Amino acid sequence: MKKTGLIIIGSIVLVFVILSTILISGYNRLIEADENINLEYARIDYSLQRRYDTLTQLANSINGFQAHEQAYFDAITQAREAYASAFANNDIAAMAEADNLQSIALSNLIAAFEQNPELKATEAYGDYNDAVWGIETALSDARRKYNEAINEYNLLIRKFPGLIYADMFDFEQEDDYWKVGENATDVPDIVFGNTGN
Amino acid sequence: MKARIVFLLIIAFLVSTLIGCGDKKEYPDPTRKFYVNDFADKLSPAVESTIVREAERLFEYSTDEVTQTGIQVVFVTFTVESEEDIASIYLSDLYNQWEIGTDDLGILIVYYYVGNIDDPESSIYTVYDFVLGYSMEQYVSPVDLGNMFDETMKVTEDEQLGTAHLLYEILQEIYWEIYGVEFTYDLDYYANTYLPYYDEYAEYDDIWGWILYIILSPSSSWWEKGILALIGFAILGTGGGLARNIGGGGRSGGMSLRRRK
Repeated sequence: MKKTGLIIIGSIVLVFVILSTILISGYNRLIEADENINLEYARIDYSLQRRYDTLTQLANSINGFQAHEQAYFDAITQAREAYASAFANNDIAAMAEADNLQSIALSNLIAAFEQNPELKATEAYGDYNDAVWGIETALSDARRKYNEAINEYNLLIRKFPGLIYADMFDFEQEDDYWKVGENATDVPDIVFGNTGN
Repeated sequence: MKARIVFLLIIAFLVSTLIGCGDKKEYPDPTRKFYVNDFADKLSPAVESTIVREAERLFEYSTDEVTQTGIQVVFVTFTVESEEDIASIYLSDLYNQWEIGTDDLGILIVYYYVGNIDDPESSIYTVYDFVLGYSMEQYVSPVDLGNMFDETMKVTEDEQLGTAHLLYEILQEIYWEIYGVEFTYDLDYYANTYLPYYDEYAEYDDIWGWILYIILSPSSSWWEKGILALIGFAILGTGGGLARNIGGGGRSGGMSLRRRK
């Protein structure tokens, strides 16, 4: 009788330990997935800030060459304000839209360079192409990884047994993807100034 | 009956928790040399040897007691069937899988060749990509890399010499920007003496390399072959001397540069 009692208590303790371990590891996986989203989001934010800085430099360098240069500054400022406003409201869709506006402003600036032989001949033009390519690929990479993190989180909380944990620990049901508009390409189509292509 | 259902539920719970725990790798593992991964079989043994030697030297220099980090410069060549295939290769993922550079101080340089994967010799060069580790972005920019490319690979038809020149320029930038140390090299000597007379078996850094040198190299002497014959069997089978370079745990945010020749 005593032996049977020990076996029953031992089994209960064992099941309790196993279930606790599973619960803790499941909770931790959700936390990791959630934090991963924050991390990837921070990378997008950093890349957008860097792109804004480059855009401003780029716009400054066309001073005096273009009759409509003010329009480029306006487009950049407008994109920046839209992003700041969306950021303050934590509105992912609006932030992605502001990202699109920046992409359009960038494409227009590159086009302005392309159309002006005097500008195109400068050494700065090739350097800007390289800088823009670097920033855009980093931003594109950040968007992709953000969406992968969202995808991982969403799958985790929708599949069994994640849905139980999500419900149990009050995790948000789903997060929005970073959607890039059709009129804004991930990486602008840059002609490589220094390569002679 | 209830106990069985509970038991089955627990098992299902355990199994579903364990599914997906496997570590999925998208890209091939680095070769044993780590610093040069010539999957397209395009680089000469002389250039491979130069890359490994200089990259190891840089890593050792950057891991001393003062600096305590570990800079890694890694070259990779890939053959792809079409240029469109390049778009599906995410180099930051490759960088992160290989964990290049301690404290994110690394550079990954990739050469793509388009052609038949089964016949790498027929493939032709198309695109060069450079990927920077997070921390390396502070010291070497895509603009710097672009300028280095233009001064090295672009001005020569000799891809082997161009690669060595590019490596030396990258090293010069790293040593100067990070440590304030001047790195010098003699490209003429490299082109006229080192490249044409390189004996791939003469440079060995482990016991197996030494054995290959003795057996295969025309430079090895008969007394060396004799010594090997006497002690060879004692050495073989020990499993020692197989040094392998590995990544330093670094990560990249995808900051990169692309160039065509």
